Amino acid sequence: MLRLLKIEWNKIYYYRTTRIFTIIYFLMLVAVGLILAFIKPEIGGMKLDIAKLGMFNFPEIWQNITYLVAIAKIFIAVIIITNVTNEYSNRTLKQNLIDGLSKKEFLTSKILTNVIFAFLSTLFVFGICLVLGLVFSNNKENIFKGMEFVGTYFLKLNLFFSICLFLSILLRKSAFAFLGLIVLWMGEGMISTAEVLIKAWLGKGFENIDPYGFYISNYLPLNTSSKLIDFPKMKIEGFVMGGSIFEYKTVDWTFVVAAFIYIGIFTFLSYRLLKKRDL
Amino acid sequence: MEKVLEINHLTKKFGKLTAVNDLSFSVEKGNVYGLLGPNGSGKSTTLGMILNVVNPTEGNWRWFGQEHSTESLKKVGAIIERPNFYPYLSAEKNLEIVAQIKGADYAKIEEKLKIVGLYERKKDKFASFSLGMKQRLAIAAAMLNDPYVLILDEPTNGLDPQGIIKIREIIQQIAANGTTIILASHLLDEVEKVCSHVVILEKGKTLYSGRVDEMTASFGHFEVSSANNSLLRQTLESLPVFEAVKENGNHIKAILKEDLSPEDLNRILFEKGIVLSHLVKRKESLENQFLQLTQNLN
Repeated sequence: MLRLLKIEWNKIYYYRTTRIFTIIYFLMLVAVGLILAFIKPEIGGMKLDIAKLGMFNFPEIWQNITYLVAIAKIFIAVIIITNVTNEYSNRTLKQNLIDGLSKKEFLTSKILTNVIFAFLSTLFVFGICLVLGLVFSNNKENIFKGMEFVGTYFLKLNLFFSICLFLSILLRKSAFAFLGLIVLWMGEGMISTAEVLIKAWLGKGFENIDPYGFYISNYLPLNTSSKLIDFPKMKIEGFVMGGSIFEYKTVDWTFVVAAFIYIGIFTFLSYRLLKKRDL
Repeated sequence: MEKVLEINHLTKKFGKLTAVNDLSFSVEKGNVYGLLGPNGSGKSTTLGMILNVVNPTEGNWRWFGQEHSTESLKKVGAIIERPNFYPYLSAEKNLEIVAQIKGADYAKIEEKLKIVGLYERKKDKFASFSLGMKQRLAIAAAMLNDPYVLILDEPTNGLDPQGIIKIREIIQQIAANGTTIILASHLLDEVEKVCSHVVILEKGKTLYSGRVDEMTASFGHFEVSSANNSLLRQTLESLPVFEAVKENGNHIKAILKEDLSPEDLNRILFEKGIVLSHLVKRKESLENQFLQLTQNLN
């Protein structure tokens, strides 16, 4: 395992572009925390202080921050896709196998990279949440309540990265892998829309539709990833009373199960592709 | 003799095309093998299979008498088609990755870079290398773990004459150290210069497998001439050792069907009153033998 990590370290760290973007990524995570803490924009003459809105209150902060920073995973996705597709375009995958690396070891080394990126991101996000919470939260008791979102964030990243890894192995060209990601994303969006339309048609009208209700299409791979850390629930009283607008609601565990299943499926498919295809 | 590689009934089909058809041969320790055949005859596919990058349709092979595993590949050095490295990494870093995969000592990196003459350029990126340098780096990588077998697929393809000479020198050095070498090539003189054994492939089938010097049953031919060529010709035709006698310009070409030394021929003819002005015994070149073999089949 250490051997595989050393190999990956050489492949990624000494690639200057990846190294720079990895550093930018982690700086960005920190920057998001700083911006959230210190920027108080004025919207229509009203000063918007997100801290006052309860953004950083325990336990809601865990969901709020992990939801906000999740988009940054695209950065790592680019690095992962570039790293894996480069192995095809440089034919180094072929050379690695000839040199005596097994296909299983190759895949393991890529998965390890994914897990490490996910772990480091999670560590940073955990730190940011903790610091922001300790500084701005209006209550400091029971700060670890809601921390399941940090674990879910880790899982979410792993799910997304395993999809990226699979697409890279399937399509072998970075541009096509990104295209694959976009097609998957749009495809899932279309299926979701279709499901809403069908429900509206069967349930006689859009007014009877509950956007937070149960949808089968929510369990498609990318939808599962976004549903793992859903858009934070808000309460109307908060706006009216001037207090916190966020409401704590824990993770929907069915998506956690779905995420594990998808990681399993994508990893298995990646392995099968590697195994079956001639180079 | 110890067998380094044993290939049994190896077959590879790409859809309808049979790239390698029931191929069997074995490689003995310490010899230099040529895998010879025109482009598209299945050389690279065969090497791809025994190197774990192409899945065989049927058949099996054994490295060092053991069932195939990635462990055995760590004792094999191979360069397939063109050098494959990480373009953004230095020569040294690229070899570090190879050393990590093969479980070789880092100290070997310096040693091998010196052998191929790239030590001064070790910090330079692979992308900045010329093709000849890339090919030499590939040889350094293949030699990194002091392999028992070195596999080279068209190692001089696309190189300039200096590059070709340099690569051949390195190959001959390696062979002199007792490393078994398998050299795939469509260049006959290349194989003839370095190989002791040859496997000839055409359309995925073995045409010949064995020693280069035993490749055809032919005993060669004599090229002779004298003051009276017509008498010479009649005399040669009357001797039972010749299969055919042909006029070939100023010379007469007599093809042997059994072994006869030039001294003996000279003595026989002298006793019959013929004095030769020209006498040469020739063996078929590998090129001619190869053409004969492929033509016999068609």
